[in-house]
Amino acid sequence: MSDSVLVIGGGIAGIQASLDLAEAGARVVLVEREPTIGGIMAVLDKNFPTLDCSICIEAPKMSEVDLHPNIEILSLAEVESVTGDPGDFRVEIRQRARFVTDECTRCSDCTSVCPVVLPNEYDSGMATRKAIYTPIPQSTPGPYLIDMAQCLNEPPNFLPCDRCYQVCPPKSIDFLMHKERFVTRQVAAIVVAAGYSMLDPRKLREFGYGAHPDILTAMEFERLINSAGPTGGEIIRPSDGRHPGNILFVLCVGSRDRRFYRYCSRFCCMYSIKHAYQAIDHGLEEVTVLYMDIRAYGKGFDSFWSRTNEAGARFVRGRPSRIIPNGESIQVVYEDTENTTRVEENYDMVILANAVIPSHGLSELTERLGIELDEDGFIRAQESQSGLVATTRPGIYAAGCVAGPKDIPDSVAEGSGAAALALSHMTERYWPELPDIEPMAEIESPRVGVFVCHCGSNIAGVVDVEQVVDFAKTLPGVVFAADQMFSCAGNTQKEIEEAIQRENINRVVVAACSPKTHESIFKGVLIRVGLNPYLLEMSNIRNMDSWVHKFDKEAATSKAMDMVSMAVEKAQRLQPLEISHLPLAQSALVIGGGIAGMTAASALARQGFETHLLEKNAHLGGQVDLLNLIAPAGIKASDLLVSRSLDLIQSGVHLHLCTTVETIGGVVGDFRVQLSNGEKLQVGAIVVATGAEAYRPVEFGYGDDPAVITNLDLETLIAHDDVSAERITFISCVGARQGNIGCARYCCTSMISQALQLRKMGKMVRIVSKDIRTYSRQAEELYEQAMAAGVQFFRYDSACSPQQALEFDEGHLGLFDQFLGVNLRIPTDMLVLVSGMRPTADNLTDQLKLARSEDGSLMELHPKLGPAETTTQGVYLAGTSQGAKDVRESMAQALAAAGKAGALLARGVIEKAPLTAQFIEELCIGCMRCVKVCPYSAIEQIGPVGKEGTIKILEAACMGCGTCAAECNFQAIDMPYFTREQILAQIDAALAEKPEEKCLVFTCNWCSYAGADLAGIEKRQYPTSARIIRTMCSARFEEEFVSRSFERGAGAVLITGCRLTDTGSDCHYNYANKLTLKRFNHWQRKMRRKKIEPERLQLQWISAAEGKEFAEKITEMDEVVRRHARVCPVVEEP
Amino acid sequence: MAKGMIDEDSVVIDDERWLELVELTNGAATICYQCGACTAICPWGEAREGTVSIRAMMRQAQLGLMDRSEELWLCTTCAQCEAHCPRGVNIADVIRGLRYLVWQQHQTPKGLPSLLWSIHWNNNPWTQPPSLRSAWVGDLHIPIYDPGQHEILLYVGCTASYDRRAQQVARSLVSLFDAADTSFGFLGDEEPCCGEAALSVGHKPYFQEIAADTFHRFQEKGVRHLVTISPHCYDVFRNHYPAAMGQNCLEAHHYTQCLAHLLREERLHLDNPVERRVTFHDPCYLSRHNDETAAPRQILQAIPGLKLVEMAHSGIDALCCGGGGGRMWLETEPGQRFADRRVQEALAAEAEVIVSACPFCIACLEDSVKAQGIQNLVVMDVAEVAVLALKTEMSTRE
Repeated sequence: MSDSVLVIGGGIAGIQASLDLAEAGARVVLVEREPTIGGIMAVLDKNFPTLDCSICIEAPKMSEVDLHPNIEILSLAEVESVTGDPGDFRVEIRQRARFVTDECTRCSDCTSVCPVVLPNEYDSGMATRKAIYTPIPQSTPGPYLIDMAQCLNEPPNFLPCDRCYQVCPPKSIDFLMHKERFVTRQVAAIVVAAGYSMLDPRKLREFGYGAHPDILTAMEFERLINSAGPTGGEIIRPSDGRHPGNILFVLCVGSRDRRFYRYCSRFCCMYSIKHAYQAIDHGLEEVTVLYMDIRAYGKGFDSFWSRTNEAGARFVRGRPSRIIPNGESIQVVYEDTENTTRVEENYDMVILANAVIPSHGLSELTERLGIELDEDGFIRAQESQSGLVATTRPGIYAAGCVAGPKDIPDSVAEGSGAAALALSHMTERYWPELPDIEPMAEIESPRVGVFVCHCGSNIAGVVDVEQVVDFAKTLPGVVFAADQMFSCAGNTQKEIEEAIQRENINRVVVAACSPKTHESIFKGVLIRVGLNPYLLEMSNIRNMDSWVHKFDKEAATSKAMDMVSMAVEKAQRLQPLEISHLPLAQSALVIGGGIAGMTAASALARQGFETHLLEKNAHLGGQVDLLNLIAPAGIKASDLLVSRSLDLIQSGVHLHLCTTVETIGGVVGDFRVQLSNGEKLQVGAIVVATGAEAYRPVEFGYGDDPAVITNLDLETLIAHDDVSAERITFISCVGARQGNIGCARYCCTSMISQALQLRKMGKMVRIVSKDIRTYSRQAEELYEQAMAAGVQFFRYDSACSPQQALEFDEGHLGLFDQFLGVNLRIPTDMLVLVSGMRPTADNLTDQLKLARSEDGSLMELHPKLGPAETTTQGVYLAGTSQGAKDVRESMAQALAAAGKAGALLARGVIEKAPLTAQFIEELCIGCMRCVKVCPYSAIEQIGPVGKEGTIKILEAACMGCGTCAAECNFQAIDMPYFTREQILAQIDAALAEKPEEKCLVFTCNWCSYAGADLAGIEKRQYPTSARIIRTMCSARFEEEFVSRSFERGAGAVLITGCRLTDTGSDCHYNYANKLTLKRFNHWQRKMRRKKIEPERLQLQWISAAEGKEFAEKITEMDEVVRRHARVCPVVEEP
Repeated sequence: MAKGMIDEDSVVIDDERWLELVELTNGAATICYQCGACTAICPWGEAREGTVSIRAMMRQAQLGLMDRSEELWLCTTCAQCEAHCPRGVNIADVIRGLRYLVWQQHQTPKGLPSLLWSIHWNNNPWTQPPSLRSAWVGDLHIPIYDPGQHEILLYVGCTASYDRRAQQVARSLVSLFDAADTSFGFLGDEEPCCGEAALSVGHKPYFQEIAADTFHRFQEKGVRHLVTISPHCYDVFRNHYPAAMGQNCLEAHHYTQCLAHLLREERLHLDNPVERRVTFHDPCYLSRHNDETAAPRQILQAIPGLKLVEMAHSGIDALCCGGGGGRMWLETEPGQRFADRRVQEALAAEAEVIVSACPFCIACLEDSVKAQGIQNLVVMDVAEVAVLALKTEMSTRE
């Protein structure tokens, strides 16, 4: 009996699994071998194809894990043994010591005195760290750690050194901590998400790694282009620090190579394309990519490849035989296979896409877990159960690259999917309860208490803390102010509690560090004394003041006073806010009875929810029913369907065959569905698994010419052993990879499997294709097998449609063979068109307010981190409805949808943080502008346009971005905790003195505020003129904030937010920042009319990784402020 | 683009020929995914203007197309490409298969048919009289092989039997065997040709005929264990006879392996110092085709006073001398000879002696040293160097 699940590995797959499990009421033990969770995603720069900033989208998830009451993170830990059975495993875990306690304030004083300099693993060894360090600024858990093996105190050094201890302000370093401890946990199930490692490229001697400093791995390049990396985002040659003139990217380094790893590493093509794109973006003119097949299989991948091509990257089909130092540059020899030319070129920099290999130590781990590995050393999956998620031992599941190379969305989907399966072993759920404390009375009239933290010398060394306290005491509403050595320390928290009770404080201002790291601690303080946690305001005088103005103590002190004054003004206007509990029906509807729908439905039912599965046809199975064998594993489609059907029945799913949805409405937790058979359902969550249809070709006379069939027709012929033709030619990508339609993913592998079957019957078989995309597990091996069996492969121009490139006439297929450079005629009795997929039409999209991607498939919430969710809360996507997929991917995503839906349904109510939009009905004129701009369709029109009070905000669907509040011209919507009144008060306070010398900076919580935080962590010095105001999203910024700032005489105003580019957005709120941009342009026009110079109002996107960019922009704005102050000195008002 | 594609210039794929080629090459080319690493590493890329596309040859083999180009005959089967091939294609096999298609069409380069005829009439590819095969023995006393009496058969091979330079290697080897007190014999004038020359120019069916004859002859003589002088003979006995005969009844070794073995067993003593700075040129058929890079070095390193230095490319990365793949019977233009580059590498390594262990390598390197007029570099065989360490008074030439 257990309410716990063990998750091994804290990369993105493990993070996703942990969050979904915890949301569903499981207690999660997250074991991470490294000092921080985050995995490889945390050190990546941008993600393809959207160019999202990787850490910007991952860090919020990391901190969510950190703060979740149901998750216990055991870092520096490894699983020692597992005994027992599903539902009741006993796990022994060994945890190494950090030698730094939780009292650590992350001030970094220790690292500056530590004498031991080591290569930093998180910068791929290209920068240094100390023996006491924190791996990355976003490290979770937060405390620093000592690398004891390298510390001078340890053998073989034995040099007594306590420099770090001496300087540590809270004395949080403990050399005497036990080096390791053993912990035991009882868990119901285990999710293994131990990630991957990368091949040491030195093993491929001909590629020259190690022989020249400018031959780098892709991971090293990733750090080079990262603003937070060793070069601050500059592409410079490690050899001489100069910018390279040209650069070469080499793919398949050790992958698809018999001498090393035969399989395809799956995601290198795309990250190399991304690297090429970024190199051009960084100003490099000559960018070359050497490839064999570009495996741009995912949604939007092909168009990203073409965009990179158009941007000027040169893609050459070939593979180098030799990369060697040639003086300062690097000589590369390869054959340009499309021109049959041997090429010798010199490059300034060469980047190797080295193979993805099983995580170091995986075989030992799996031995301890009692699960099997496959021939390549990845975890072996029980495919017919769940794609690649189920391992060979019941109750243990795999997610992410541990079962084979995978990109982020596929790893995330498997993380959620593994969570869904793990939940089925749980017998109990755990919901932490808030402490029952008598609420404080008398909170109506504000009594503000101000606590100013020294943070040792981190703040007090620069800011005159006593002066700030004295100043705070003079502020209106302040009844108490005091300074503290460490506000966050346990005993000091107690002091705050006592002061609150003694002085009857009912609004708390803590002037210390970042709310992003410490707000939860101080909220805890308020909760413990019975004060509503939303009556707290933090002022970040460390990261955004003392750390960044070290050399101007006076200005830093006066800025701190401004900041405290802003916080006090806001605090006076804070109101208690309560988490709301919204009704939820604990039942789910799965629409579509294909393999995805079947998988999702049984996974939901097995979690204990009433689940309805709807299928329009009389039988289940969808597209899989049309298949005979499922490639590459060679599973019989009928066997798979039988086992899934059995699972459906056993799990107790309510099946509705020959049934469709008539109407569907409502909101998350309470959807109302009218079925075609007259039945009515009320469900809390919906999984859309409506699938895709095979494209019906019009090419090559299909339908008229009996010699022309599709791959699905062929599947039937093979199943009935009815293939009479002797010479069979396949054409791939018919109706795929054209215009907006991307790669159909499944077909290369499936086609090759068919070809191999035919070849084994003794037929002459040819495949005419674009790039062969056998990226999936065992698919490359199948490709090799088919070639060895004598299937002939031909390439046609990937820029052409099949009909442009090929001609079928008189029993011959004519083509230009790219490999030989000649026209060929292939004798062909039967032509097989391998057709792509098309989205199915349905009546759900509009009713559920779902969006469609450019290829017509249903759009996911986020291409990287939300592959199974939609912008409509409570509606999830499974299978090919979201985009082309093969069977195992469809099953994995179905499980992900079931995991997500399960997490929503588990609690029986929807808990909603009180940050959702508030409607002030009497002010509404019914213009419906808010309805149009809401990124989540959370505002409903409930009456005719133009009548008062004709909207309704669906609290359950609202995510709290504030776009609507900014859009409303009548102040009929406001955002709790970031109200108009509060922000205006902050503006007024900031500009109370010498406004012309100040620049107001509006930041969003997720990216630009985090970027400003990072500038502090990196100690990037910038001028003191900036005054920062935080909201949740840049789309919250209203025109009035800007106009008020200028009315009060601000020198300048800077609008910031998450990055928005042509390719995507890091925005936390479904592209809400597009509105920021639109509004900004409008404001600028308006301010110009008011004779405000355009340079005084600027917009800058800043990602959470861009501390440097933030500091640079503030410096630039400071010049604007100074220029302006000189040009028109403000006359003192009488 | 599509229309008009099917015209007279189009090549129609011929299934029959493809099947034939698959059979000839064991389908070696089928798994090639056309990356071109072979073309890029091929030494012809540096020796010659224009591209010699090995990849395109593989492509033709994949489709069963004829390669009528002159380039097909350039290949020395040095197997640099095979070492770099990510798919592990037996490229030399494919090249030989393509060459056979040309044999069928009687379009081979001049001189090659007479090579086959020479083997047919003379039992050697060098157009030398069979009766002079054992003339190299001179005053040495070598018994005719007797399985009851001798532990090994010294398989001299055609080149060491007739080539004056290579004969010295054979004689040195005999001295070494004698010094190690080895019981060995040879087949005298009756020694059959191994057929490697026929195989290397792509005439696999004739090679198979020769192999059958030779194998039969060996069986008659009771030969089980033989030691070759040329790595080419060693390679066919080891790697191609088993396939051709469908059985594995011969145990072949290269003489360097045999000498290294004798050294290990302390039957051979190389005690006389040879104060020379020496570099070793790995023959392709020893290093890449048979993974043997250690044995010759073990012999050299056993010699006191000898300083072994490595060239820029050595071991399995060694550059080819240009003599394999039938190139010994074809003209190579001056300026395109691989050995020239190799000799320069030896000079760059500041070697006084470039040592090898293959009659073809010795011939090519020595030609190059002469043609380039180099005075300070001598070409020697491992056996010749070892003999120096054997006796106190022996010059590099007899």
